[in-house]
Amino acid sequence: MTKRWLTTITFLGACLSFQAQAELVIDIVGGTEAALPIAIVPFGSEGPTAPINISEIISNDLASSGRFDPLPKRDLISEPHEKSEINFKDWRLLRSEGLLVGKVSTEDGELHKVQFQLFDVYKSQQLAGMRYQVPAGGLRRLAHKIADQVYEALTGEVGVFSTRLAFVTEVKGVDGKKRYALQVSDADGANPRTVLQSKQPILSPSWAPDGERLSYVSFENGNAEVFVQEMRSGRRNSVAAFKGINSAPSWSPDGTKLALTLSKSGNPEIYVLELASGKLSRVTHNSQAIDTEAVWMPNGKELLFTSDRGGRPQIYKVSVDGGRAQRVTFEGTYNSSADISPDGRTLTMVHGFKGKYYIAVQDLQTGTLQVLTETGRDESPSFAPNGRVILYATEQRGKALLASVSVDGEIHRRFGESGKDVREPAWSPLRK
Amino acid sequence: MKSLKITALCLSLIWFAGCTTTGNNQAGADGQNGEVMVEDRTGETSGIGDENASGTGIDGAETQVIVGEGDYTGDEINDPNSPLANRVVYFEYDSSAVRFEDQATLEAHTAYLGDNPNVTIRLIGHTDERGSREYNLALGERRALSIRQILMLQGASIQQFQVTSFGEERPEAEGFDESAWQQNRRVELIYIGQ
Amino acid sequence: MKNSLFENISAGSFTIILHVALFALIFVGIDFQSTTHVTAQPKVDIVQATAMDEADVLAEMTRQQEYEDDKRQQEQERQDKIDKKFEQAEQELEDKKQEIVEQQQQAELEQQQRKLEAEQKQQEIEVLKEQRKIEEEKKQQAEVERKLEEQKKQQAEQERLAEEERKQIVAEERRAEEEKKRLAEADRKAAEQKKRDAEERVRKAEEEEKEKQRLAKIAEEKKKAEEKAAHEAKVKADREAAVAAKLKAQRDEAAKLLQDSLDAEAREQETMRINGVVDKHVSIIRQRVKRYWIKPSSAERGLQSTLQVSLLPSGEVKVVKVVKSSGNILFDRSAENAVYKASPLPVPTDPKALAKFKQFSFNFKPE
Repeated sequence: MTKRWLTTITFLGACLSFQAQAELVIDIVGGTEAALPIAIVPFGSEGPTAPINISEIISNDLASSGRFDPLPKRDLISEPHEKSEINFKDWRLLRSEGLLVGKVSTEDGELHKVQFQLFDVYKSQQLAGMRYQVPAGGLRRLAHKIADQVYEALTGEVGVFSTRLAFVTEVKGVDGKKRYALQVSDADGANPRTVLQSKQPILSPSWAPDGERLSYVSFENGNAEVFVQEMRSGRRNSVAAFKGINSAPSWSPDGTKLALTLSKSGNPEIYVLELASGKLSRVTHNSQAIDTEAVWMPNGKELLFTSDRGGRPQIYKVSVDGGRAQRVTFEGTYNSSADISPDGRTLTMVHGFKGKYYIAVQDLQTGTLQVLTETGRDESPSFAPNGRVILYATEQRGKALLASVSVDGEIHRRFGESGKDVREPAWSPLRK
Repeated sequence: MKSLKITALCLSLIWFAGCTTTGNNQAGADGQNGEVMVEDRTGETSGIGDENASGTGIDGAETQVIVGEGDYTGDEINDPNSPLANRVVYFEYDSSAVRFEDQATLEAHTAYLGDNPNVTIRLIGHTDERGSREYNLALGERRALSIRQILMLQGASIQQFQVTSFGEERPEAEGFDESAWQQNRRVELIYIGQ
Repeated sequence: MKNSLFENISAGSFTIILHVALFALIFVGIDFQSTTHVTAQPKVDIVQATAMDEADVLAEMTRQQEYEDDKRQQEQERQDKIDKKFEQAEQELEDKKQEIVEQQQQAELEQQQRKLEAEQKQQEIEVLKEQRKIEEEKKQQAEVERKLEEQKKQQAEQERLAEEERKQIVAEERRAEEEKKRLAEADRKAAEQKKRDAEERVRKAEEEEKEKQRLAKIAEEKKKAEEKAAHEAKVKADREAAVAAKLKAQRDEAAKLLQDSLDAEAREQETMRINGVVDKHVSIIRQRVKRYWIKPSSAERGLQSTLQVSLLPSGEVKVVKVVKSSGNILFDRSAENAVYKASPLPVPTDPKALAKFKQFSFNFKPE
């Protein structure tokens, strides 16, 4: 080392003329958009083993987003569980963008103490860190929550791992009759639980902005009818059971109203229902056309909806107070099932083209349309609450299942097959 | 004609009985009794997001509800040789226009409904699986309504009709090809109380 | 205690300032964590949640102190600790780097070779031209010499004629001698004719005198001719010497010019070579850093982070400093991380070129 330096000093002496010249500036333009490498060390454990592997859930969450690339376990140089055990120079060699360590301890196997710390290994700096106490049943949820914090610290965007998915399943019973269930799962599709079960079809679940209520369409009374159900108590109300179809509920951003499709006038039209008062106001007035699938713009003042008033189904925009609707989609012969990104900039929809149906996104400012999927049997797109991913229903070998795609179309994912037909997904809002 | 009236009387009696069942179904609509079953799992609903998570968990924050156990049923007119025995009409893709081959069937039903103002019929519209479920729900209704329009041509009143759409939710044939889709794009005619 | 603390301060104030700064840094970091996450916490199913705090700070301080103290030793240890895998990766990188460098050097060498060859050719042409010129002068010289030779020949002819004349005179002398002998014979035979003899002697004496004068004149002329020849020879020799000197001067000057241009060429080539090496390594470093740079998705057009980087001679990244922030913390961090991850940077081995990489800057732009 010393020798090297001596040589260098000699060099420098010899090269003073060069030193005097302007400092070298290297422009780096572009870079990659790869997944961030992250080192996730298995959490340390004290006392009875925790019922779930927290670090594994975190790792799977981050990997599933497509934006992280957790290092394989065999590459982990050592297994520190807190800062004092970390030799940062070693971890720099792994070229990860973050190092996550933590530990779980419990005395009675029920109450667990969990702590985690996320480090920038190059600056030996903590980026995030928390300590928690949770019951065993809360560990999975906590793991998702930690994943959210890591995600946010390293990407600057909100993580959605601790959110939930709602969807409808269909199974054929031993009696040959179909049974339908409205289910809710973790954001990774794990841990599904049934919130409603019926022998009649269930459609179009929609989350209230508080994440505490679901609205949906049920045929349990022989006709499409709209219900609102409280998640905790299971209490439910029919909020629209008029003559004709009652369907396509969508919560207003403030959670006080539902946009609905009602055909009580003899033709499907968009209405807005004020939940507290039951006051109903009609938004569209086109008796020749199907107007349905309303969804609120984040400003709470406009609705996007599907209409075939132009001959074929296309997406239109209309003020919640009514008035003239404005056509939004122009490409393709069939555009329906709109959902809007939380920032209100991007529209996702089912885009039909030559008899096939794809998930597409359209930039509302530029009008640019991008098709994100390839199977041609895709429906019901739903934005993740951070606007990064779109959840949708698709089919594979005759089986309906859920899939997701990043808004740039780069990262595709299918959710584990459950042996059931799974469809009508709706991504919950962020938990507050 | 006389025997027809007797039949009609019988029909209305049976229809009345049927109404009771329907009433049961409607009772379920308010979600308080009848066929709707709400499982009380309050033991599992507390805990999520609570400061002191005394409950067992996070994952049971939602309660399971079971509804719609009562099957939807309908009756038939007992003459297999009459065109009235035909109770289904089919449609082209994304269309609610009646096809030529279904005209005879519809004429028979139109006449029958005109002659029997006490008879009630339920029209259930269906679509194939392609496209949006909500749009298909509306399209199924549009098909049923277009059939109603035809069936009212010989004096039947609007009160004789119940119109329902199941969209693509109740396919007749499972499958992902035109032969299956063709069977699923239909309106079913169901006489109530027969 | 106070005293010793004071001593410590005076002895190692720098270290303490460093630690205080470090403490402040950690404290701020922790504070940030506690404010942001604690507020979010009540909504979660958590009995108790606290931000990582004092214990960490103390542990961190202690650890940092130890770290400072054992820095050298640890560095040595760490060197040893390096995983084989990474050494291999580094080696591969180094090999690749070397390969690229060699290829480039080869290309440069070839280019220089070609240039040198072209220049040599040009020089040869110049030399040839010079030679032609010298040859031309030589030719002229030869012409002068030929003329001189001709003159010499004419001179020789004159001399030959003079010699013939002299021989004729000698023959006449001999004949005159014989005549004298014959006359003396006749004297001995006829003594009477004394008067005639005396007259004859006078006449003869006169003739002899005449002859003598004539001979002297001939000798004089000969001497003059000889002198003239000698002079001309000298003039000729002088001229030859002058021509030769001129030629030599011309040759010397050409050689000197050639040498001068070669020297300038060499200097220029050295600068070019170094610039070439620097450029090549800038390009390699750019590629490498770019490869390691994972842009955050929030990186919008128009952002720019300027980082100042100090390297060890090995190319290892010593310090990265954000000298001009983009305003987007994640973007800045991604750029810093890219440089750290690209360490060691493939720096040139040439000392002059290496000097340029001791400290330099990166401008990171998303597009």
